[in-house]
Amino acid sequence: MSTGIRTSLRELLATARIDPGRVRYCMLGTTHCINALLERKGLDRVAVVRIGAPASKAIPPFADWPADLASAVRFRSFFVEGGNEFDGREMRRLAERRLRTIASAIDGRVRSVAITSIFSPVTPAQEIQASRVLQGALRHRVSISLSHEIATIGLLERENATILNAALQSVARRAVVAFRRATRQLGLRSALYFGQNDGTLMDIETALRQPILTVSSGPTNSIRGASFLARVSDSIVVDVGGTSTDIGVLKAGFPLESSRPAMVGGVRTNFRIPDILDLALGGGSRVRPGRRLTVGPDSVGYRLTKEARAVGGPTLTATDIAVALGRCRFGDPKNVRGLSPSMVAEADRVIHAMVEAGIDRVRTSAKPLPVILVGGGSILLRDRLKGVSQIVRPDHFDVANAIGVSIAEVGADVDTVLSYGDDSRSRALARACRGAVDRAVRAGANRRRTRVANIEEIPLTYLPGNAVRVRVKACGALAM
Amino acid sequence: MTDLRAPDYLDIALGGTILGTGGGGSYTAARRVAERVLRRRRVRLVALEDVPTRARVVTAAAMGSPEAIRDKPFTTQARLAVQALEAATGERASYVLPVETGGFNHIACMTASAGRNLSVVDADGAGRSIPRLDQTLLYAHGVPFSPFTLADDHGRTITVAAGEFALEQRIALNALEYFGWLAGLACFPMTGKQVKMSSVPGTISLARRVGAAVREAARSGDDILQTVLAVTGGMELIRGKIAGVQTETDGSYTFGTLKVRGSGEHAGSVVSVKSMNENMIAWKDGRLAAVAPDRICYLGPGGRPVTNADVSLGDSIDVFVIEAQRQWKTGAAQGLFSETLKAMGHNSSYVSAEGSSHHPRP
Repeated sequence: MSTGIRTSLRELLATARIDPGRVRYCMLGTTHCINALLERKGLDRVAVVRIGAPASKAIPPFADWPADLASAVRFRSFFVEGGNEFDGREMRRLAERRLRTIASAIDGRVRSVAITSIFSPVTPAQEIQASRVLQGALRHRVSISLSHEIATIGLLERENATILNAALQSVARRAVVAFRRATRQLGLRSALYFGQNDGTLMDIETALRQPILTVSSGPTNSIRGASFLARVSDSIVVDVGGTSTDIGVLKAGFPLESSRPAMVGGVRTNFRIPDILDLALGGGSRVRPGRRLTVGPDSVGYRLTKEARAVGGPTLTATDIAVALGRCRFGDPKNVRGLSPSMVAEADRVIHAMVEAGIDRVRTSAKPLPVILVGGGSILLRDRLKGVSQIVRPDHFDVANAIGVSIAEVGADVDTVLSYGDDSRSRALARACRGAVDRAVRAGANRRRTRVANIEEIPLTYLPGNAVRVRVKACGALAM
Repeated sequence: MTDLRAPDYLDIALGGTILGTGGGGSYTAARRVAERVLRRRRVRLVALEDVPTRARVVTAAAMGSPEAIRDKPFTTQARLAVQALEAATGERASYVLPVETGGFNHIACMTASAGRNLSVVDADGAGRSIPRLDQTLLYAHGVPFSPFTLADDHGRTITVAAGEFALEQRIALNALEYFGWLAGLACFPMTGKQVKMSSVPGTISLARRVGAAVREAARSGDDILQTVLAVTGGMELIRGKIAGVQTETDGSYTFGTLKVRGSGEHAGSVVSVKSMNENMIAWKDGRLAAVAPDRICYLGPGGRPVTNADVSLGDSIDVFVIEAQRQWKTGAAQGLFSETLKAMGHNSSYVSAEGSSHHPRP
């Protein structure tokens, strides 16, 4: 990994003719962690502690995990009495003695522990206390992942994310070491950052503690990079590949997040990841003429250069339609000259109808938005689409991902339940906002250039005292 | 009699939420319980007509805040509540019944039966979702609400028999606070004869059929709303996008107004839906289109269920209406919503959606 980073950095520095000593910040957008999870490679074994028993005992940890991943990660699971209610009250006191028994059962046998307590995003005290008790009782070093630092409300999803985070400790350490070594060897003395799922940056210390927050940074960075290259911030990004088309929405420069649970390595988590619509349409999609002409869902994929009609192959593909319409050059146009013009027109109509329907599904207002068209398959599309104000085809899309991470700001958020009962709403909110800004500044943002990017309030019915769940996100430019 | 299994629970969670008239509990919670608590269990579903007249039946449900259930799973609470009610009445139940229609309500009831020799009646106490337990058909037909029990998953239980609904409701809400805003509820202890007189039959299997049909239509690319209308005999009100969301809460109930602007062939039309937790009144282009107990239902893009708790501006949504079941049109049931409707500014009496002229019959 170190070699890969070094090679691209050296190339970049040489091409740009920059003195390595003058580079102050270096950001890495990496798929290292997600790949380790997908391949089940290099993962740590984890002792899982759930605080809240007897509540929730009927659904043990790892309940809905893929078997191979569970057996690669699971050491043992333990239930501990304790936990909080969602109004903050203690459900039960934390059973410290039980934790000491657990410590002796895992000491020297496991290097990573995941602790999840019921409603810890509201009241993290018991997780912190449990971590202290365990650390005090263990003779060997362990890294402990606390669920309230990893994810939000939703016990089993948060626990899953915390276990994954605990399993990634060694992988993260290796990635950080590789990143450090590569940059040092090239004489860079920059501050190092990792791109995280929501399109913001985290420092090395956070990345070591919370490696799971890098796992879905890929699509986020690509979308943000595309918007930067196209110079539009509110838009729809349509990425047409060989087999599929990804459509995502950018709002104020950030991808719109999905409300559905995010699957990571086959495990359900509650991360917020970009809401991306995936259409089975690409340059290699098979076109089947007939009374009801269809395009896809199957595709010849990377075999396009052998299979397509335009190169003398047997299969009629979406690319052949674009060639026949003179929209792009590929193979020999003579090979598609024999296609019936009405069939070609119908296929073109179907392709555009699919994309236009997709755009319509992701859009959040009736207002026409600009569309950023990227990816090798985007040659299929003409320069006018229904409901679209403007089409931009930016250059350098192949490095959009790297651009996306290098333009990112430092981000941090606070997710908590506030009671407006004995405190005024504005004071309680202001406190939450300050918390988020402080977190961003601690991670390297310039305080004067850090702002609250988003406040979400969800009133909690059934609860007295005007309780509200509040999510505050702060973002800030790096302190340069 | 049918044995339900894992895929059925998911279909019931999906179809039940779609039929839940904008309420009926969170779909996410329903799906979680279906996947995590019921998955490996078998639940026996028995048609209402097959329930013996003298059988002992209780309703089983979840009570609490949708926020609480996000971190505290709903697992054994309903079962423990039913056991507590059995202990209080001294009679072992052989059937459980959901209080109302709704993905989460149906699924929560099933957790009471799982792992016990306790069948679920294919029916429920309202045939739709309702804001208050005294708006069930059970209550309207004089089935006593109490004694009722609440239980949490620590095995702590409370039994109440105050004999006065308003008082009992207050006691339940207070008890709920101590249970961390989530508890299993068992109430309406009754006989098979009473269930047959006062519940709406076939609602669970209808939810399952709707869920299965939506899943199938989403897979094959068929028009999902058309499919749902075909299964339920409902009528399309509008397809469009959410152009306005207004909610207000008085601490116990959430009052909402949803505005949907039509698109496609509905372009130019506007539907507004007023709700008190559940959908109560719908207008189309300023004219009254449907009133509870007729069921005003939502359908999200790709067949996703939408409830009033998760509507958000700009989202695509379809609104359709299913006429109230005949059980709602007889004496005792007729007035159940009039007070609620009056409080929402609707004074005239119930008009069947089928009887109004501006949308076609199914």
